[in-house]
Amino acid sequence: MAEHARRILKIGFFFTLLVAGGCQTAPVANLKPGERPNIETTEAGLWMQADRAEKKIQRSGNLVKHAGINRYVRSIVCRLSPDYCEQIRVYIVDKPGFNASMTPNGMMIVQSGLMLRAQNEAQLAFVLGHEMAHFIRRHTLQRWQTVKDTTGFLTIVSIALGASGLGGASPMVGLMATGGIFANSRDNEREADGLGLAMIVKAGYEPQEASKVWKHLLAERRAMEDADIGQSFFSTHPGSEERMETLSNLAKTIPGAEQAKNTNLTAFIEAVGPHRDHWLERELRLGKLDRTEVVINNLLQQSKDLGVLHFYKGELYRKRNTESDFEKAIEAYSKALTYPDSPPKTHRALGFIYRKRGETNKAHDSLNDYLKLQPRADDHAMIRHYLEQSK
Amino acid sequence: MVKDTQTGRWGLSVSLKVAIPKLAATIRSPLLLAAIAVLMAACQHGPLKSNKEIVTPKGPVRILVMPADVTLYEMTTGGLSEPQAAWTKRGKVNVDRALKKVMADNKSKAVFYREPNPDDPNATRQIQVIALQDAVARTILQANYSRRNLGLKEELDYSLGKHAQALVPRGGADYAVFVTLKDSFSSAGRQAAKFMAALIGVRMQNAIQAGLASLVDLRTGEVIWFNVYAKGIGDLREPSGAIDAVKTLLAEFPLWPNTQDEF
Repeated sequence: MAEHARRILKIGFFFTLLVAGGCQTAPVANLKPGERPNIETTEAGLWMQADRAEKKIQRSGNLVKHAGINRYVRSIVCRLSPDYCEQIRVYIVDKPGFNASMTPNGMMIVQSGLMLRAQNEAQLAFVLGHEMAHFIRRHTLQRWQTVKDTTGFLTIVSIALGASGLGGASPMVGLMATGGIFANSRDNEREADGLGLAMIVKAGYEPQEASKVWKHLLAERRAMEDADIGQSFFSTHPGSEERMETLSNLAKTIPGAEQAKNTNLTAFIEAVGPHRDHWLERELRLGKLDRTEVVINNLLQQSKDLGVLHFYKGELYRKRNTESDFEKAIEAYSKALTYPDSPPKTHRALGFIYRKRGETNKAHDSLNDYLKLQPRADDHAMIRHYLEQSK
Repeated sequence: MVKDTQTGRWGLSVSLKVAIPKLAATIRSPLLLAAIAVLMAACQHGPLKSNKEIVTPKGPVRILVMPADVTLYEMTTGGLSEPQAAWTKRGKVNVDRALKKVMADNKSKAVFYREPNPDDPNATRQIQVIALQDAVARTILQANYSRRNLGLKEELDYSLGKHAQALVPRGGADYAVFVTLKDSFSSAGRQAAKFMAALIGVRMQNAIQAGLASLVDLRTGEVIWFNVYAKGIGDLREPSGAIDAVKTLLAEFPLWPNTQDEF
């Protein structure tokens, strides 16, 4: 009988703790324009740490300081939300790969690799809107609360399970609860996608461009052989496919979509175009060539900066150097040269390939063309030496 | 920053992500706290001194005291360190005052660092030297106090290089001291959980206070003395607690006038 009573007691203890540990936090309201958290709050602590991180970003050597591009991105942020634009500080960092982030204090970091991938202003605006939604909806705070509640809950449950002799069940509970953290974060991402879309429509941008962002990322991912790495139980972001379809469907039904047709391609190319050469070079240096091929092909769809794009397509093949890549490289470089914006280094690249293949005359002509265009190039002495040799 | 680089912890990073709202910034600082605690538990040893002779200049030694890097946290029920802005503000004031007092009590000629105007040509150099010091201090912590990754390094042999001179204020200074202090306190939930855990014989991790101090020779940039500590008591929210913390941290400081003749 005593055995029985002890058991009931244990189970009672367990459930009391379960209820105590599992209490949920109230939903978080939007941050109001100009609002700063009270210093006594959890949110103020998160802001404090974000302010410190911002100081570090400000002294980073990777910061893109070019005034024009910063002004341009800032102008999109303000067009998306005049109410919040003063509170948001955008930092563009020179870093390949698609990423952007937002801290609770209004610091937005945009990687140049993301700017490289955008095909027009509407696509860039969508990603900026997505980040701004994280800020306005206070997702960092929400996320912190979830992690805090979950780990607290787990601690209590572990003690309770230990007390009731069920310690072996702890890992299972842990797994379920941790999965909950990630699911919550995916919900945040969906919410940010939805709000981002609403913001661009309101600002007059073509909503169908939003889903293209994910469509292109999906294509990149498929181009990489290890295509299955992104999706798992612990994925923080919903799958690109799901996001793409959701956004595409939303774009059809969202009010105001019919009037919103802007992509601002001209302004976009004017601001972003001059940086593409450098950003493509950085992207290529990552060595993820199959992925970069998708990026370049996507950009080639829009008939701007074609000289630069074809040059880097050539560079990509030259670096990959499998089967017929040298022929493909020659083809791409030659194509680049048919456009007025092809960089002078295209001639040099062609010259080197011809030289390697023993096509001496062609090599000589190409290197000569390079020197004509860049007589004071850093490597002019070396090129002149090659020219002497091949005479 | 965001190191980069700055995701990956917590396994939150998956390929092709847009903006995980940055928990990383929140998480990284407590890592230092936790790192000190783990390291101190693993190998308890005192301050490190460089083998290089400390050349005492003629006249009193002038010490440049850098603004302390202070953060206070509340330890949540689940053991997370939650940064606390109001406590940190108080703690920072207390620690800076305590540094002043401890320097004066030891009759040191202390000069307190003043941030340059942003248009001062020296401003950028100073910012970079301070950032470098931060990186070097973390390296020392790993290399000299942790057996885990690299094997223990016995000797203190690090330098910020001659650029350290950028910190020398107009009136001059011979050495610079950098202080980092972190303090944490258990939340009510944590205390209850600890109590319950104790009932079934389980001991849960306590909130701790941890400190780090590094002394740099401003002529050469060499780190000539380094100390860390971690303890389960203390309170930087109180002026007296801050004085205790600074005294603990600088107990064997080599430049107090009465200890200088050792060199």
